[in-house]
Amino acid sequence: MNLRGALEKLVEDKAPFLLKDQCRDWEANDLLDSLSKGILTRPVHMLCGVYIAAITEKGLMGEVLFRFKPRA
Amino acid sequence: MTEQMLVELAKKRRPEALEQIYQRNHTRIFHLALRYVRSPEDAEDIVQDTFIKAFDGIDTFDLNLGSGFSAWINRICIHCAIDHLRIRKRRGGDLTSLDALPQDPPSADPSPEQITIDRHVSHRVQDAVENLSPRQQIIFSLRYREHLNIRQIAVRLDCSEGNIRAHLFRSASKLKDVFRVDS
Repeated sequence: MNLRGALEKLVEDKAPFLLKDQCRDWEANDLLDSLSKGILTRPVHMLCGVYIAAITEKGLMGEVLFRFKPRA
Repeated sequence: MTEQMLVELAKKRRPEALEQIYQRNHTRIFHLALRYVRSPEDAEDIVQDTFIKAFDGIDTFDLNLGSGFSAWINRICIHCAIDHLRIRKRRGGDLTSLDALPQDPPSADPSPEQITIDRHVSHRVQDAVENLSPRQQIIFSLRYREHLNIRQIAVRLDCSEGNIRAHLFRSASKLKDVFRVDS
């Protein structure tokens, strides 16, 4: 799964979460609109409710890109 | 798949193993977190921190030492709960929490007066306990709500028995002071 797929799934499922990075909280939709194609095609591991993490070239879990934050 | 195999794969940071670990442990960790905070939302925050910290530090877990993976991740959860309580306390927000802990069953058919008195005492104790430090609150609840002995608490929090005794002693002194002033 790439980041685009993960974000689209959250939008489709109307998941009750925002995504939090080190700076702010994001709507999945806003990330789809604002992130570059290069970033959106990055492979990720999504553990719904916990995090979206990058996947390394070897297919292993890498850096946590976003944490889930329940919508108020 | 055995826990040992799962942990070995998780140490290699294989996503499917991490996911399995999450699925197997999530409910237990959530209920553990819920003993220390008032709301399910706060408990979910603790669960999230717990798994991120656990996955981040899974290399440090040694299957051959200590009391198994569940105990290891339980300890992380308790430390995350302590951090959560500290942040809450620093913000001066709605302090936790021990009223969310399971209550002891009431004695057989207490009178309405006894129920009122029991509730009053219970609330006073909870108020007093909320003035303890977050770590003392956790240790107090492990000792007097979950009825763990000193050694079990030390294992769960990964510190010495002497440290636990010292915290319990200080907690008891603080609580005595509160009730002495009140009475």
